[in-house]
Amino acid sequence: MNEGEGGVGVVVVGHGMTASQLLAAGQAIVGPGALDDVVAVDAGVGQTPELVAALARTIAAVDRGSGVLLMVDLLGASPCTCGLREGSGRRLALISGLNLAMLLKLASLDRSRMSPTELAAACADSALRAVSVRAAEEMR
Amino acid sequence: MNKAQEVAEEVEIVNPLGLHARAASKLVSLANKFQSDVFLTKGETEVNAKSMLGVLMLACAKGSKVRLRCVGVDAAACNEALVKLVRAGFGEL
Repeated sequence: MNEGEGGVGVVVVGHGMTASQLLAAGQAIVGPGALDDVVAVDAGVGQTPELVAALARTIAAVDRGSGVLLMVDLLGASPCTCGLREGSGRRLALISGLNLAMLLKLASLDRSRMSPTELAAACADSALRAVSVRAAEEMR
Repeated sequence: MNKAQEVAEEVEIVNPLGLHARAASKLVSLANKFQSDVFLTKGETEVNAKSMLGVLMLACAKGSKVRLRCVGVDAAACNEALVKLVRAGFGEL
């Protein structure tokens, strides 16, 4: 790890305006602090030169030497493939299936002490547990 | 060196919105200020009260009764602070 360089940078990417809206919701829940330096990139309807440029710029900006966690909504879709391409050559881990649980978990993790892959694994664990099917009466 | 102790208490969720995300965030943040392990039980489900998702998993509405259990050297202070927060409706009353 490159200690003391601010830890792993995080970019959240989603179709439409989902990335910025989901990040705003996460920040509102956890309050000031843990998610302040996370950057959202709204992908709109798909791959455009603007999206490519925004991802390249953002990934480069958040990488402080400890690598980057790329959080995307849909595996294999443009925000994902584009992000991976623009992040190639960096110490980058990908997590797909972006949801609020994942962001809340991220807020509780120490990004100066974990690698991008470790962060992705911890977030995935929480996100998977957050998907649950129960009959309403079981929730009472 | 203080000895680890266990303190448990049943509390009722009193705020109209129940243990929703922002309330859970307050509970978890406060729990994490203490060294003790903190558990929350509703029915037969016990979760780690230092985990946001754990707390949310209990899906507590207003009127839900939960058991708060703190285990550690600062269990008494931890229990007192958390019970106070829950009884104050997470500052929403």
